[in-house]
Amino acid sequence: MILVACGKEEVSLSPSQMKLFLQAVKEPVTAEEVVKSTELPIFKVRSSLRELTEAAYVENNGDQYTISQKGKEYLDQN
Amino acid sequence: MSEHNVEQAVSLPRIGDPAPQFEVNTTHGPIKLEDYKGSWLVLFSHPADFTPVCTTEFVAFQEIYPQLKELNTELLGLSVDSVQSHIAWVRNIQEKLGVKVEFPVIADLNKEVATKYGMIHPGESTTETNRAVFVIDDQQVIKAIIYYPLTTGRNMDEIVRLVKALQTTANHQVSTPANWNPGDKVVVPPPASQQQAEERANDEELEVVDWYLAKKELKE
Repeated sequence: MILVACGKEEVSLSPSQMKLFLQAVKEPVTAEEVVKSTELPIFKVRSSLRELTEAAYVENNGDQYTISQKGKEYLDQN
Repeated sequence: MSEHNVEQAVSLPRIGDPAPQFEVNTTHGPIKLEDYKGSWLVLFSHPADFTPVCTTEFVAFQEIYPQLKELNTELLGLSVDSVQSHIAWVRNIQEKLGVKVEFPVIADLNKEVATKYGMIHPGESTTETNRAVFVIDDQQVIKAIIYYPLTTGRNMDEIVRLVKALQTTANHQVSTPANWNPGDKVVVPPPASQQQAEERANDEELEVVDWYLAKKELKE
């Protein structure tokens, strides 16, 4: 269980990290492909894609990740 | 040692065991151990944020982080403090010492990971984790464990050397002698038969001290 005091941000990623990941999944890609395009470590890519999927910014189908409608709206507004 | 103590000791992870899985809150957001599959990991604990020895260690861990990354190895810190405390501390380290801590730090407030990995030694402290280091390979198996007491900062060169030695063993099925560093000769496994021992004694490619102790150059 993760302990939270006084509420919680929807995701732990910063705005610049959000944009980086959402741009990286505009087309269906695997986590390994996101590692190559972002040059981030695998643990960071896996944990971030999981957070973005749970918050519905990204859709996950098997090992593929794609930006969702909510994710596209975030990119349009930021 | 009493039967009760033996039971407790067996429950702690040991070299060769699968690393106990966890899902934790960190300074880089929620992380699962399985997120590290495919890379090596140095999981280490420190007693507490905003304490002097730990601060020197965090600076030193950050200094070796680029070397570890070149070895496909990540760093992950841990203490029984909150994410907000960790954030305040790493920001203070950057402000006062000019070092940006780039690796994540686990906020193990409920001591779940500390307990699973045996990082709290009640004889020393019942509330703080000691200076434990777990080297976990890319298949999530524990390959080495180091424990230091609260009073004594760790040797970062040794941690880097240890990772290099473990990876050399994993990649080449050899052992490494005392004080080994990359470029030094490695130790070949002891002979398993009398015939092997006799042939080894005459092998010109080996530096044979005696039939049971032989070294060789490592060919890449």
